[in-house]
Amino acid sequence: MGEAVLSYEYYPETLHLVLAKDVKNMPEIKSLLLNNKLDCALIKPCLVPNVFVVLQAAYKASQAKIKGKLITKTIYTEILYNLSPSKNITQSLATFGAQETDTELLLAHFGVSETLQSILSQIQGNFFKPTENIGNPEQIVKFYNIKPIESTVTPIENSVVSRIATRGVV
Amino acid sequence: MDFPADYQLVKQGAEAKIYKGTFLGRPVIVKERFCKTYRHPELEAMISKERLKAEARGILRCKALGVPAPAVYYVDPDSKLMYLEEIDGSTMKDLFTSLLASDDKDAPDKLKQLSLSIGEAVGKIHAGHLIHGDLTTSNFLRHGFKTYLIDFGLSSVSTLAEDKAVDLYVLERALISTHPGSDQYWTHILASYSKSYPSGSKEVLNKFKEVQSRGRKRTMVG
Repeated sequence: MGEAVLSYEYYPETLHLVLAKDVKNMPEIKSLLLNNKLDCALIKPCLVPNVFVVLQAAYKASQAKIKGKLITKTIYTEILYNLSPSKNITQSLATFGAQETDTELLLAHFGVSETLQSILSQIQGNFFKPTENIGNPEQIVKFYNIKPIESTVTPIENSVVSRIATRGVV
Repeated sequence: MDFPADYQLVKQGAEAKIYKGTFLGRPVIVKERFCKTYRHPELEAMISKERLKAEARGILRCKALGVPAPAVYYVDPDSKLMYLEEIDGSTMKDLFTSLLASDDKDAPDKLKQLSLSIGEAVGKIHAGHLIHGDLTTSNFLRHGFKTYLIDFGLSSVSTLAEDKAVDLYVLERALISTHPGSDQYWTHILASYSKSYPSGSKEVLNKFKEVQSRGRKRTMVG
């Protein structure tokens, strides 16, 4: 199981990322999540250009938590909210969170390997280590409103990263 | 600001300190706007916040107009920090300085190409009504065949030909004063400026002549 996890040390916690495919019990997972019984974020992979974007959204969320400046309820909803170009929280969670009909999800969890294992044990699916390119570029371009004039001079990932970083500042 | 041990101070300007380091595994440039103790604290807080915002807005708009600018990785408004993508290139200032001093027979042609790329970048941002506010040869980075614009702390959005003309005038003064002997390349900058900003460059260039004759500031007489 260890090779399917991408871990990143954040002070004071460690972030773990796992890509799950062919998930069979999505409705069950979703209801556990909504009842606060699953301590993680379940991200829709198709809208995420690569791992760095998730690391960045998670970093921004963990900094906000440390400063007591979370905009949403938890650090996990904050990750989804940070990923979204929209300021509407409900809409952001619906768009960037994995839905009951999905079979793929990108799981983000702050904790230790034991807590991660207990979460993974409740998901019926195949686990993979997230790689550089995850999402669907056409959907990403549309969602973040990146025009061709911009995507021809800078990589899509850079445009997404810059939007995430500056949101709430500009 | 206490940075991790791998952060190195690489430059200290009038407005900010520039560090090199890593962020989530990537090489980054961190720009820290420091406090000016001679300013009134409230004014200082307002100015530095405005410039941080202007910088973020300027970068986003610049990219959206098709001119390369570094990606923003993280902004911390409380400690006035901005984490930016590190562009592994040379400033136009360094390139101009070394090419003007070199006796390489290709140097004039290289300088012409660089000048054309400067004009193109400025033309494109002005066509989108973005005013850089501090156009100097140090604020253009050349990486491969791309010319990046950096340092948007004084940027603003304006449709006025006057503001665009002043932006050009600042660039002209900077070019001529930092690079003696570069006068001939100014015409290349203007030529590609006009080419990449066909809808409004004429009006801006007329205004530019007016600005040249009076200086950057408008006369406030009368």
